[in-house]
Amino acid sequence: MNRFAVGIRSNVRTFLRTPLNVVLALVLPLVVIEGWGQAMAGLPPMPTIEAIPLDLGRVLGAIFGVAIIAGLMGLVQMISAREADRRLVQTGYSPRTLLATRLATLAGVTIVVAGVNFGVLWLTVEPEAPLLVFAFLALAGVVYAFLGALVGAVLPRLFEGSLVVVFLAMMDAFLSGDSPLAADVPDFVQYFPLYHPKELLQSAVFDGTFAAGDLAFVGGYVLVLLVLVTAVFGATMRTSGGWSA
Amino acid sequence: MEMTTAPTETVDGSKTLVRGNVLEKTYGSRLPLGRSTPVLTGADIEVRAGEIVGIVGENGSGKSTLMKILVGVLDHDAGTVERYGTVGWCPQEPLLYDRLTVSETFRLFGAGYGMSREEIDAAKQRLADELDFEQYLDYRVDQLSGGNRQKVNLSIALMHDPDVLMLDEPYTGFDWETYLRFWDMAQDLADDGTAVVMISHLIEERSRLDRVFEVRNGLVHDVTDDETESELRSDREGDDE
Amino acid sequence: MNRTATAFGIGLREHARNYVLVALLVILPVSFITLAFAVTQDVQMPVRTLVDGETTTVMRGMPEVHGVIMTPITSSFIAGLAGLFLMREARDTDGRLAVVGYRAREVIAARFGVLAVITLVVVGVSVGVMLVDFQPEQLWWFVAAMVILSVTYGLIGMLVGAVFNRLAGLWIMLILPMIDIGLFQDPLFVQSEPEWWMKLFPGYHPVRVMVDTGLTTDLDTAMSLGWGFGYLLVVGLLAIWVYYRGTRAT
Repeated sequence: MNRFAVGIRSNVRTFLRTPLNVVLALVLPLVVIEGWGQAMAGLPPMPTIEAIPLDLGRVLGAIFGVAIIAGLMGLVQMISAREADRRLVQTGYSPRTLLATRLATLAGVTIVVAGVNFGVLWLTVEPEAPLLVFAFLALAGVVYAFLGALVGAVLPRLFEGSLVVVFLAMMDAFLSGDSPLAADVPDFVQYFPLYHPKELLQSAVFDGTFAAGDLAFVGGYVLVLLVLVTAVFGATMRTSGGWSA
Repeated sequence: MEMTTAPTETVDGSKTLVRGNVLEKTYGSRLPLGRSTPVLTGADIEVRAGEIVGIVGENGSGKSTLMKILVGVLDHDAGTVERYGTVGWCPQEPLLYDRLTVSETFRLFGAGYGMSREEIDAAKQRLADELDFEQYLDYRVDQLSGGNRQKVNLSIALMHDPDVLMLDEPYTGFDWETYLRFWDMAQDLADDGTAVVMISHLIEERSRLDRVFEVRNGLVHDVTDDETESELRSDREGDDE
Repeated sequence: MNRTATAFGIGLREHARNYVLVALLVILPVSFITLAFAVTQDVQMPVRTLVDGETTTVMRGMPEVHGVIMTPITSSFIAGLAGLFLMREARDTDGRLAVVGYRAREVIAARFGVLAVITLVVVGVSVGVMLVDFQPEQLWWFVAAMVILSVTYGLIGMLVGAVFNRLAGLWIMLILPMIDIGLFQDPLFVQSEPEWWMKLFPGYHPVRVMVDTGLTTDLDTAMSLGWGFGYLLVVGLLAIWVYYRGTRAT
C-alpha cells in the first residue's frame, strides 16, 4: 500500500473529524478580511497610500488570515504528531516519507483555506488577475505553514512555539503589511516571510501583474524552509532513542 | 473450592471502608449524533479494612473508571459511593508536575493531605528508602526514568498512611526487587488495617489477594473462588504430562 | 501548612523553571515593541479620543500612537496564550490535587495567582520597553488600564482553553486580540465613535483609557476604567466557574 497516500488520507481525516476547526477555518478568514478592510477604511488621508484603503485592507487581511491559520496549523501538526511519528518510523515509514506526507497535507489544507480567502476577495475586491491572486495567497499560506512546521520541529512545545509564531506573524503583518503606517522600513524587512508574497498579491489584485523577482524570492524562501524542516525533523527522529536498530 | 482465609481477613466485624452501589457511568457525547459508550451499568463493590482486593477485567471493561469513581475524581451518572477514612490514590498515568523535583512533589501533595513539614520529610525519607529512589530526591520529575516516576507516583498515594489505598497498576516499570518490596509493603499495610484495592493484570498475584473482583459487561462480579481461563489451561497441561 | 500558598509557590517555581518560556516572555515584547518604534515614521496623525467628555480628534505623533496600541497588543497576546495553556496543562494533574485534599478554591486561587504573576511580568516588561521610546502623559492610569486588559485576556484564554481544542483555541487567541485591539480599538483606524458591537470587545474600555491617559493630560475616561474592571470581574467569575467544574471531586 502506498504509504504516502495512506499518510495523507489519515491526516486529512484527522483534521476533518474536528468539525469546529473546519468551521473556523472557513469563518475566520471572513472576519479578518472584513475587519482589516473596515479598519483601513477608517484611516484618515495620508501621503503614502496608493490604493483605496478599504480594498488594500481586505487584501492585507486575506494574506494575513491565510498566513496565521496556516502557520498555527503547521505548528500544531508537527508537535502533535511527534511521538506518533517516531512509532511510525519503527513500523517502516521512512522519516522522509512521513515528513513529506505531513507537509503535503499541510499544503493541501492551506490551499483550501487560501481558496476561501480568495473567494471573499474575489467577491469584495474584484481583482485584476483572479488566478494569480489565488496562487499567491496559497503561496503565502504555504510559506507560513512550513514556517510553523519548522518552529514546531525546533521548539516542540505548543505554548512556546505558538508565542514565536504569533509574534513573527505580528511583526510581519506590521512591517510587511502595514505599509502606510510603517514607511521607514529597514532593509531587512524584505526577508520577512510575508513581504514578497504581499507584493505579489498586491500587484496581482490592483495591476494584474507581478514581479518575477518577487516570485523567485518566495520560491527560494519555500525551498530553504523545506531544507531546514527536513534537516530538523530527521535529526529529531534519529535521536529519539533506539529506533535505529 | 473453599474461600482461603488469609491472616488479614476477618469476615465478621471487619469494617467496610469503601462501598459503591449500583454505579452507572457512560462516556459519550452530549450531542445527539455522537457515540456514547456505557461503561458501568450498575456496579456494586465493597472493600473492607485489612484486606487486599484485586480488580481484574479485560481492556476497556471499566476497571480504571470504577476506581476513579470510588476515589472521587470522576463523576458517576447514577448510584452512590461511600468512603470512610482517608484515601490514597495511585493513578495509572503518573499525574505529576514535570518541572518539580521529587522533594517538591512530596511537599505539594503533603500539604494537601494536611501534613506538617516534619511529617512530610519523614514520609519522604521512609518511602524513598523503602522503594529505593533516595538518590533522585532532587531530580525533576521529567528527568526520571519511567520506573522511578512510578515509584514517586506510588509514594504520593502512600505518604499519609491512608485507610484505603486505591492502586491502578501500581508497579508498572518496577524492577523485580522493587516489585517484591512493594508486595511486602502492601501486606504490612493490610496487616495494620489498611484496605488495599489494586487493579492488576498478573494472574500470578491471585494467591496474594484476599478477594478478586472482575469487571465484566458493566457489572462487578466476585470471582475470588473462580478459576480463571489460564489457571484451567495450566491444569490441563499438567494433566497431559 | 497553608495549602493555597504552597500550591501557589510551587506553581510559580514550576513555571520559572521553564527557561524557554521566561526567555520568550522577555525577548518577544522587547523585539516587537522596539521594532515597532524603530520603523514608525514621525508624522502627526489625527487620533480620536475624549476631551472633557466629548469625542474629539487630537494630533499626535505616530510613534506615540503606536506606543499606545502596540504595547497592549503585546501583553494581551501573551497573557491570552498563557491563560489558554495554563488551563489545558493543569486540568488532569489538578484533579489529583483535589483527591489529595486540596479544596477546589485553593487550587483555583493558586492557578489564577500564577496567571496573574505571569501577566504582571509581561505587563512590566512591555511597559518597560515602551518607556524607552514613549512616556504616557499619565503613567499610572495607563498601567492600570494595561493590567486590566491583560488580565482580562488571560482569563479569556483560560475560558477558550476549557471549551475549544488546541488548534481552534490558538486561532481564536491570536485573531481576537489582533482584531479587537489592533483594528477595532485603534483610534487611528476608527476615526469616529466605534460601532456598538465594537464596544462589546474586551479591549474597548481599557484601550480607550490608554489612549486618553497616554496621549492627553486629563483623565476623561475614569468611567471606562470602571467598566473595564467590571468586564474583568464577569470574565473572571466565568473562568472560575468553568475551572471549578473541571477540577471538582464528588
